[in-house]
Parts: sequence; C-alpha cells; structure tokens
Amino acid sequence: MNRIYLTLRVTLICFLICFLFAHTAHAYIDIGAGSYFFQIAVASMLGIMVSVKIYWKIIKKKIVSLFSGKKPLPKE
Amino acid sequence: MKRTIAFHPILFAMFPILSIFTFNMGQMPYGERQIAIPLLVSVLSAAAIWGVLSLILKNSLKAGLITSILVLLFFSYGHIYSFLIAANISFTIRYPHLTALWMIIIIVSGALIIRTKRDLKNITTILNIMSITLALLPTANYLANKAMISSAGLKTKTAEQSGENVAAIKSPVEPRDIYYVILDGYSNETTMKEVFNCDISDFTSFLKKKGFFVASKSRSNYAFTDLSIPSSLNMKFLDGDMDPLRKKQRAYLLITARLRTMLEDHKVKDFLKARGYKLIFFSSGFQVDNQNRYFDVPNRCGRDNEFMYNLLNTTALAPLHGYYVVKKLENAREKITSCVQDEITKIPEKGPLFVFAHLDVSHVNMFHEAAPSYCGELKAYNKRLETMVSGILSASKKPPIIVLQGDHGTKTILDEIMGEDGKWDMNKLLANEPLMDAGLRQRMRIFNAYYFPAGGEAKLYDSITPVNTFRVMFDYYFGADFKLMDDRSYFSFPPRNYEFVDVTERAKF
Repeated sequence: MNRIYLTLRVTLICFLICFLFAHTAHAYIDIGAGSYFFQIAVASMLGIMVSVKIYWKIIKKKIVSLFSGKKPLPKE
Repeated sequence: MKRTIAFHPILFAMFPILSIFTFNMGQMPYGERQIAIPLLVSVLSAAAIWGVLSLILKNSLKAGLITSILVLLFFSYGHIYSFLIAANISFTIRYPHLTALWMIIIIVSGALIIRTKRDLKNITTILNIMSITLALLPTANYLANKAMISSAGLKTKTAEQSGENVAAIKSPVEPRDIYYVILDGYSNETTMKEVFNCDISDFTSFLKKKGFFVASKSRSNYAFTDLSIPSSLNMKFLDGDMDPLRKKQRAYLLITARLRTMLEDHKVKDFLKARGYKLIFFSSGFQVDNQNRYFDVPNRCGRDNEFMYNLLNTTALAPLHGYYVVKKLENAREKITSCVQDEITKIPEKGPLFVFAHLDVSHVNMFHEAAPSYCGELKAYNKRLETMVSGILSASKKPPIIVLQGDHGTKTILDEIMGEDGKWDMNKLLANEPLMDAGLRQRMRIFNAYYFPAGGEAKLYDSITPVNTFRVMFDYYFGADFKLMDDRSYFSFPPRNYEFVDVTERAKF
C-alpha cells in the first residue's frame, strides 16, 4: 500500500511541476538542455527523498550515535 | 518474498527523446510519428544491453543498474558538452576529454557494481521511482501542451469563416501555373557585392533576359524563416496572430504552434484551391516546413530528419558528427535540393499548378556563409537555378508565374558579436549602432525576382516585400482586391524571435 501511495504522490508532484514549468523561447529544433537537466534534478530530488525514507532507520541510528558519542550497536 | 524488477533502463531510455520532443512541440505538429522510431530503437537497445548483461552477470538487478548508467551517460553526453560550451569551458574540455571521463565513469561504476555483494533491491526501487518520474515529466508536459494548443484555437480560419466571398472573385479562363520558390537566406545583389565582394550580376542578367523583374530594393518582412514564410503565404503581418497569444501561458509554445499552422494551412493555398489549382509541395528538409499535409502532393522529394539530427547531437555519438552525421545530413539536403531542381521541371500532375518549393542554400549558407568559398558556391548554385528556371519555362505550355524569393538575408555581420552561448549578444549589438545597422541591412535585404507574364510586371516595384507578393499576383491575374500593404520590415532577437522591432527605416535602401 505504501508503495502505491508513494507512486501516487510522485505522479501528483510530477503533474504539478509540469504545469508550473514555463517553456523558454526557441526557434526550430532546440535540444532543451536546461529542461533536460531540470527534469533530472527533479527526479534526483525524489530519488533522494525515497532513499531517505528507505534508509531512515540507518540514517537515524548514525545521527543518534554521532551526537551521543556512542558507537552504533553491531548488527545482530 | 517480493521480487524486484529493474524496469528503469527502459524508462531512462525513453526520457531523453520525450524530453526533446515536448520541448519542441510547437515545431512538430505531427511529431508523434517522428519520435516513434528513435523511441523504439532506444528502448530496444536498452533492453538488448540489459538482456545480454543479465545473461553474462546472471543478475538482472546488476545488469539493470549498469544499463541505466550507460543509457544516461549516452544521452547526457551532448547536453553536458553544450553546457560546457555555454559556460565557456569548451576550450579546456574537448570531446576526447569528455569521452575519456565517460569511459572512466563506466569502467569504475561497472566494476563496483559487478563486485558488490550488497542487495541491490533498494537502489533498484529508488531508480525505478526516478525513472517513472523522468518518463512522467515529459509525458505530463506533452499532455499539457497538447491541451493548450487545441484549446487555443490555432487553426486558420477558412475563407468562408473569415467572411470572404471566395466565389465572387472570378478565375482567369486559362489559369497559369504558379511557382513560388523560396531561396533560404539569399541576400540582395547589393549585399552580395558589399559584404561578400560577390558579383551575382550574371544571374540577375540571365533572369532579366528571360523576362524576370528583379526587385533591386526588396527587403524581407521578418528576419527568420518561420516568421517570413507564414507572413508571405498568408499575405499579412504576424502581429494580429501573435498578440492574443503573447498574454497566454506558454506563449512561446502557442506562437510556434500557430506559426507552424500558418505555414501549412495558409491563405494562398485556400485561395488557389478554391480555383481548382493542384498544390505541389517541395520541402527544403528543414523541420520548419518539411511537408504540407494540405497540399495534393505533400512532399515530392522526401525530407531529412532535423529532429533526429539534434537528438544525435545530444548523445555520445556527437563527436562523430563532423565525420559522419553532419555529412550525411548535408548530403541529404543536397540530395533534396538536386531532386527539387530536377523534379520541379517535370511535374506529372495536370495544371493549373501551385508549386511551393523551399530551396535550402545550406551548402553555401547555413554551414559555410563565412567561408571563403561562399561566393564560388553561390555562383555554382545560381547556375543550377538558371537551369531550373529554363526548365520550368520550356516545360510550360502557357507562360507560368514564377517567384524566386529569399525569406531573409545572410547574417555574417550580426554573427560578429556573439555571446558566450554562441548566439547574438543583443546588448552588445544594440550598443554598436553602425554594426547593428549594417547587420540589419544584410539580414533584411533580400533577393526577390518575379516572372509575371502578360503585363503583370507593370504592377511590381523595386522595394516590394514578400507580404505583397501574392497580393499583387492575385489582384492582377485573378481580379482580386487585396490591395497593397505597407512594405515594413520587422527584426527580432533570438531567443525572443517573436518580439518584433520595426526596422524599416534602418534596413531601407
């Protein structure tokens, strides 16, 4: 279920970005490098967000151990 | 245990093509067909690489990861290179350096992925989500653009819708064939002499001897093909069509789409079709007018694929351009030009004919305008035009109407001031008035010659501009009442091609 919600959220964000995304002026065929990298940046942001969600427990452990000065517990 | 499937290579392979397509939708009204093959090739190639790697590595997730890296690097190569040029880093980073860097990334990441013992399910999930996003972004943009274009009502009004009484205008008893030949980027004779020290008087003398009227002080109405031809074929200036769109969202998309519509679905076509003319279209090969679906013969000599050319330029195949792809493209255009010049003299259809031909002078213009060989190439080109003109005249039972017209002039003077992005630096140009004036004269003063038999020549004048070409023609030969418009010239600066500045006085002779 979580994955379905995640996919729906991703889709919704994509559509919102697209409607906000203004075209720049161009004549004839333009490779649109700016647009290309912008879209990759958006996908990367989402990738980072999903990574944080997936690895949240590990990240949390690392942060806690960093500030408490304790070594993270070894894996059981 | 849930199985994770790595479908990201397929979607990553689709994204770059969809991205360029949606970015250029205004220019590509039937682009869906144009992207089908590259899309298929890209997806099948990614699938093949993935399949082979899966068999070799016996791990579909590792294979998927390596394939995606390959796909993204392949399609980002040209984008990164153009970014480096724009950022003025191109002097230090050339193709070999970038290729070496790409090879290092591929080898290192490949080795790390092959050797890793980690479970790649999570990273595959992340990449799957990223790839869905990248496929959805241009798709959503495509749907939004499509909706905007269709809701903006960009279609040209028919004569009846415009309230014109087409039937009231009488057709001539024996209508003449009409040949409207656009010579892309062909400057005026004076400009050729002043700027390139190139004497083309042989050509103009030839035309005059044949009975042509050469408008020696002609100017174009607009500085770019995608503005100039829609204006002349609709016999009007473009502001009336552009202004309502300027205030809308995605104005540039709508304007390009509107211009593209005006190029195909134009007033000249309506006027002549209503009078029983057969419409024959010869493309230059440029994306801007590579076919006309409203014509009886939409494209006789084939077309090249400007979209494909630009797409290849974004890939790791870009360094091969100088050696293979550009040459192939030039050859394709050369083939088209030769075909047009040959075929136009032996059209099998029965008249009356309206023949539209857009001849690319790219061999002498687009790539080599500043080259020392320009004048020689242009003269050779003129000889071919002479053969074409003689062919048309001798093949016509009744003297036809012929127009040989530059859609705009050359631009070497304006090119002297380029910005870091390789485009004209508007601020520097505006600050340098003498250079700007010289550049405007070069760009706006065009070659414009008319064969108007049976007294039609008397209606022409030296400073005629393309917007009045068909007005004069239709008024004289068809008894229409379009009347002349002011011969004004409008310049625009890329990328703001659609914001016009009246430069009539500055470009005048």
